[in-house]
Amino acid sequence: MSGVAIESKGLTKRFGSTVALCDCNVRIPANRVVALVGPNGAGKSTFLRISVGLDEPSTGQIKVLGWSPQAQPMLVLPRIGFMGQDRPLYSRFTARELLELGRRLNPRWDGELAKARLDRIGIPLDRRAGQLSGGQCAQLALTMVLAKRPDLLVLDEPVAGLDPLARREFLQHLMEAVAEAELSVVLSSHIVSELELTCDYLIILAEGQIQVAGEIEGLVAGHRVLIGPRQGLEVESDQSVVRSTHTERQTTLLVRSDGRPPGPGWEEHQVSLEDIVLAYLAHPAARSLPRPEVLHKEGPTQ
Amino acid sequence: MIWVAWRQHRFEAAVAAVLLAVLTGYLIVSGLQAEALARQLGLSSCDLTSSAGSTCSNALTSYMDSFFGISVLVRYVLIALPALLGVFVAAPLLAREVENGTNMFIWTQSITRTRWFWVKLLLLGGSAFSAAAAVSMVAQWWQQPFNQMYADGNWTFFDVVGPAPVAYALFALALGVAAGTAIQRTVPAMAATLFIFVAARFAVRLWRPWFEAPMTAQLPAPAGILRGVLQIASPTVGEAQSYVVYQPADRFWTFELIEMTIFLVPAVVLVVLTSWWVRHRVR
Repeated sequence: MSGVAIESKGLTKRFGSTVALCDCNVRIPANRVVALVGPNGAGKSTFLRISVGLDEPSTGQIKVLGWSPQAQPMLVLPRIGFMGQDRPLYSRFTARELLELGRRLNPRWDGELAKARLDRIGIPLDRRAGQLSGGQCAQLALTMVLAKRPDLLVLDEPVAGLDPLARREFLQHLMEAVAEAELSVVLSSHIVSELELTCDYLIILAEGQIQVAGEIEGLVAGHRVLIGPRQGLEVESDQSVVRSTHTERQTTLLVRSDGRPPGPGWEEHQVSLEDIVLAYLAHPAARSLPRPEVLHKEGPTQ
Repeated sequence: MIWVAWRQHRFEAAVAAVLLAVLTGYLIVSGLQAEALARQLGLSSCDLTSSAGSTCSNALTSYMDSFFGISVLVRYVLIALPALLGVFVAAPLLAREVENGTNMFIWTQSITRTRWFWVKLLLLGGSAFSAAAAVSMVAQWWQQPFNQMYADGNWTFFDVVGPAPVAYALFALALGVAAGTAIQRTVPAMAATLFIFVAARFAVRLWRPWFEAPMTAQLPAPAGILRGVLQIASPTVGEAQSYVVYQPADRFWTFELIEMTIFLVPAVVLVVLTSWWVRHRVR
């Protein structure tokens, strides 16, 4: 399997006068569980929909597993599993009929796996999809994409609207599937807290642009919180500062590791993924990309 | 994909089948009854223009009393069928999928959406074509005894016999699918389909008498010449120069073919356009 799951160059999508995606350049490595994070309307769904061929880019390119989902759908579709927002299924189909649909429309369909999964979850084959609970419906939808035996799973807000228990169960099943097969996963979410356990790669999309892309481990190691005496607003001009907060007596800075304390008397702290995500979301202009812009590496930072 | 389409639309298919079975059954029964009554009254040897009070005229009156209402009702039901097909089957075809988000599900199975579209369209189009052709042929047989009730004979049943109703059905189908694809919401797409279909039918109906240059006959016309013609202008009674403008009876099938073409050409254009839309514009 190739080393790249999704690669986009200058990917731009306009709907009339609104720009949903603007010049997105990203290279998502294979065999990762990638979290695509961003506020509502940031372009997450649009990016995922383009990557499975449901939408066409206005300009720019996208390659999924090495092929164009728009120009070569029959090379891409059998190798991906896509779950759209709200996990749509034909509600009048029974579980058995949905599996039959999967068998007839997908060359790599694994009927044994599908049946075994439904059996384990406890979804009766004769039950219509519309009669299942939210959690069961999500599990059925997950079964439908896993039984395609895909190389890449693309999940758009897979746990949105589920209760916490169903959410955890869903992610647990997803992780088991990832462990069993060589599988790349890209999932979008705006709930950050669950992602740290599930994902190992993070992309933050803000206002249609890729803001952050990188291994979560690297991101966590590459950011620090600095706490020191109260500073003026000029600290924000240092580009390694992602976010600064000030109280009367002290200043807290979230910096990339190339940032240096502005002076003596500063404490350094570890930072959690959630802090990093929130800091970047609050400052859409800040960037942390694999090929970063030139930063103030050395020299006076005050 | 054929199995999927069948599973998805079997309810509609069942409703349509029951509806058509009831309708054809009724057509056959009422047609047989009308034929029997006409034979009993001896209408076949009668001239429609026979003077009032004659045996023939009385026979025709009693025949009309029994069957005129039925003939009008059945004609309107038959005229409404293509509109029902467009509004309730074709318009939701894509709009409902988009509304429920299930297009995201079906279009990310290992099948292109162009193939999805054509399988559905050809199955639906094939069923609509066969059903419309069958109903049109039954209607052709059924309307024969009723012909004599109307001065313009066949022309009264222009919309329900021959190739024209088949073309209406295919046009309604293409229009509904196109509206559903363009609008992507079920109810507005249904409304648009109904409105455009009725407007198109009405407009072509107004145009129909002028498909070819009409003929003119001086009055009083020779006996039988105005039998079964489509009269356009009524004779001006009481003037020496009175005349009648009409389309002769033998142009009926030519006009049927013209009407068929008028509806089939836009149907084909709409289908091609929709196929492109499905591929490139539907979200």
